[in-house]
Amino acid sequence: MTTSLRFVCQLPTGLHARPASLLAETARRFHAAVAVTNEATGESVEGRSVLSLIALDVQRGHSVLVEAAGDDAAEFLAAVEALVHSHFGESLTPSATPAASGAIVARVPAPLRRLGAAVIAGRSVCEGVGHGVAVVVGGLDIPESIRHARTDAPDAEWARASAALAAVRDEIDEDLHATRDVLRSELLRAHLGIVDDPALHNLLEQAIRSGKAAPRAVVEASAHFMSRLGSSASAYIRERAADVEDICRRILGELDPSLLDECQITFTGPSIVVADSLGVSQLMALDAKLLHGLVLGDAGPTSHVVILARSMRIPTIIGVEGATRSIAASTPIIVDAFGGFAVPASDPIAEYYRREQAFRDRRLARIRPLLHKRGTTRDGVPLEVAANAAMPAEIRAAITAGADSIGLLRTELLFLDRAQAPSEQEQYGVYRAAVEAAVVAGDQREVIIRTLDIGGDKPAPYITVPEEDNPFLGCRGLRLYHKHPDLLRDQLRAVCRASAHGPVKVMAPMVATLAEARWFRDRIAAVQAELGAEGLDHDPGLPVGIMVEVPSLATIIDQLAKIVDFISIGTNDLCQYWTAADRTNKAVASLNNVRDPSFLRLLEQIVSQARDHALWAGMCGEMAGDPLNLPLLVGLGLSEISAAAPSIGPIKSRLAGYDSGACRDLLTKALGRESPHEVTALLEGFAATHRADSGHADPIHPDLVLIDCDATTREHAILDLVGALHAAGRTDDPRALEEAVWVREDKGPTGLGFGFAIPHGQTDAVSCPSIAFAKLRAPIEWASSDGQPVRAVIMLAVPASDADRTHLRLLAKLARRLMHEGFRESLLSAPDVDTILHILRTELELGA
Amino acid sequence: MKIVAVTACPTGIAHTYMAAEQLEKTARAAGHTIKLETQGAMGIENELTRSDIAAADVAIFAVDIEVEKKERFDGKRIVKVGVAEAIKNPKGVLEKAGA
Repeated sequence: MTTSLRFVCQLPTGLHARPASLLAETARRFHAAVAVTNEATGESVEGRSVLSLIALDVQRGHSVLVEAAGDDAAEFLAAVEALVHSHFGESLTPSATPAASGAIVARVPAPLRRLGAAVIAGRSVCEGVGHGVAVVVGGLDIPESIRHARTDAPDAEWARASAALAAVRDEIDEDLHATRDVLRSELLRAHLGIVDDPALHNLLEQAIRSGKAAPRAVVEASAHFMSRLGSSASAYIRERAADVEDICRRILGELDPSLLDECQITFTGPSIVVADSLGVSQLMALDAKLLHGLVLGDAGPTSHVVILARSMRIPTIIGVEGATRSIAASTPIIVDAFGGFAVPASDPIAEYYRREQAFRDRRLARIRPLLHKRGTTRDGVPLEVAANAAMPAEIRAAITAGADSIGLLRTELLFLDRAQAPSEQEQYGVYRAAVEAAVVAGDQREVIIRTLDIGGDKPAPYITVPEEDNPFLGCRGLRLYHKHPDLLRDQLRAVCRASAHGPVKVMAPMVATLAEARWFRDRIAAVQAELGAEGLDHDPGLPVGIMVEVPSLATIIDQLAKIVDFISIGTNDLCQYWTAADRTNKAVASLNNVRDPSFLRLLEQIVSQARDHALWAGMCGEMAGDPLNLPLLVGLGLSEISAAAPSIGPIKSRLAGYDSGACRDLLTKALGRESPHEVTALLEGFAATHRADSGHADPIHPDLVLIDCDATTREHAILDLVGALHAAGRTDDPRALEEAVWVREDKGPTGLGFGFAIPHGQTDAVSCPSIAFAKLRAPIEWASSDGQPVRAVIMLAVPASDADRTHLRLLAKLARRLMHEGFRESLLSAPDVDTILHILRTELELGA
Repeated sequence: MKIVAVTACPTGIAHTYMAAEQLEKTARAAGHTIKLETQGAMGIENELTRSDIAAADVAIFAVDIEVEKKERFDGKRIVKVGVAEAIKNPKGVLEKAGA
């Protein structure tokens, strides 16, 4: 019997890859033959093929007809109806993510611009600098003979194609079993989906049965899907086209290995791969030790190849027009993925990067010991600096970046984008991988796993959420668990079992009452009893906590302390519920500010109550990730803060310079202010007077004095001083400081005569006003006003928002002192760093 | 003689003060009295009043940008030079001003 269902697509980005794969996955669970028609275009496809469904290009407002024939057709259509009703688990509000910005503009350092470097611009998707020999990878070069090849024996030819498909499938399957990397597994699974796609098989078989040779059929199938996916209105779908091309290339390679000659990649030393398009499988096959950079033409920022490159931390630029034509094979090149370009590595350019790398290395060497030391203030008060993560692959990176632990492991990703909830076993595998990834040098770090946090704004198809006018005040987080006891039970069992493999804590989102906290605790006790009875390993002392993100908890922290082992403050939701203002709503967003003294008082109340009742309190909202807020968090006396991995370094280096008493004083002041702006001003003043790494901000420091600088050009002298400032932690963005200095330099050289130059720049890339000094081994031309070469360089670097103007006064004083010959001579004849520091300190009245 | 002077450069971090130091140092060494206003990143410092200006024989502007509150100098004899010139050759600038 044939039945049908018609619906109008409501999804803002149409029936894109995620909903299409849900529909195909659902179709595969039934026997019924399924046809799906986009009535806006009149096109019909097979319902089990993700590729075909995506290629239907169903946009919002298009009418879709789903027809099913077979015994279970009615059941299938009911399942589809549920999918449609849940909007395929998608949000109907268009996501706020902006489209990728249009024009590509490389940020080329001024010294390279001055050298007239011929840069090839792209967009940086993974920062870093890589040097190597260009290995240019061509696309498939299909000879005309293949494009017209025919077969007289279609049966044998189809058997040959099937064997090739099976061989590719087996290779992927083998890789899948061999890898322990979660990201690689996901990508390989996606590739398995393509190689198994019925639409691909049908297209190949039809072409071969009509007399076309197998390689020709593959080339045509590839072109068909590439053009269908490539013309989609969605960038996400266009990027999936690359995976189809990748698979088709592999099938062709099985049919005729000589076709891949141009695509072969061999490294003889450090290499930069240059390709118009590169498949994930090609990247996976490369020697990661010799791959120092990627220059790609046709790859999107969310394409699989880019995601993989980022996980491998390969400096990568994309969107490079005609990459393979503009870069000659076997020539040495440099990929600068800080600035977003590639450039031939001529001697002066290589020298620029050599000097830059030298100070970047010094910076790393300096902060490395700090990163792997548990977070502590200068006076020894511990504050655990943890990282937020959403999948095990991120955990290793976060721990390497210096995270003391994982303060928030989100589990939503596991549950979204699928037709059925993940099984206990699948979840156990993921949580266990997470725990096992949180190890550094044999030291096991704690992982706080948060149970599922979804709601009516982003439902999964297997979770029923009634229509709600206001999902943020509705059934979300823990409130959903009552309706889905099995879902919670499976997750808690998986978490408890993972706790046998390392230190784990578990916490629930969206708790508003004591009763809910108690209920959650009881569920865990029940699961632990089950596991005990089944003889399954778990940590019976698993700490149980809750997120504090509903203001109602703020007044009952003492009571909560008797029920749970810890709390973690989720500042994003807590602030939104506290201020009753949605921060994505422009009209009211300004009300929602975590620096509002009212909110700070709320936090103070929560944390001090927790402390009084010996309840461990952490924070995992965005507030924790902004290093400017750090003194407030230290002042609050939190036990832990958890932020995105890139914030860990800046937070730890600042923390090491802060005094807990000064932070408490600052918090007290902030609590007495009347607006968030006043608090921001306080924080900026604090940051400007407290230098990263150590101690009170001192404009001069031994590390900022280069007593025997071997620079021979103005460019190198400026670079070396910027480098000294970076290595000493005065700037996290040396390129921005360098640029600011050159903007000033281009207005008129700062060689002020008398053998001195004072390059200077004002930029927020500098954390506090600083003076760097270089005595040059040999004099340098600086286009000085008196025509004399420069023998000493003093660089002044000042934050754009210099809250404390005494520093500007100091720089004015320095400028005035330089007009006195005695001062200049004493600096030029100083034998060592200490003497120079002494002179600067006395003459500029800096105090001890 | 009595001199009033203003120094100002685009960033106002260094050259403004170098020129100020040179002009003050050189003028005082030559026995002149000088009151000098800097217009730098810290804003106007040591601001010249209308009576300071009225009492002076000449005003020197060692500036690479527009002088702020210029109307105070209406009718006063002004010698204008670049900041670099005041740093390199303060004596010459004073001579130009008739000092």
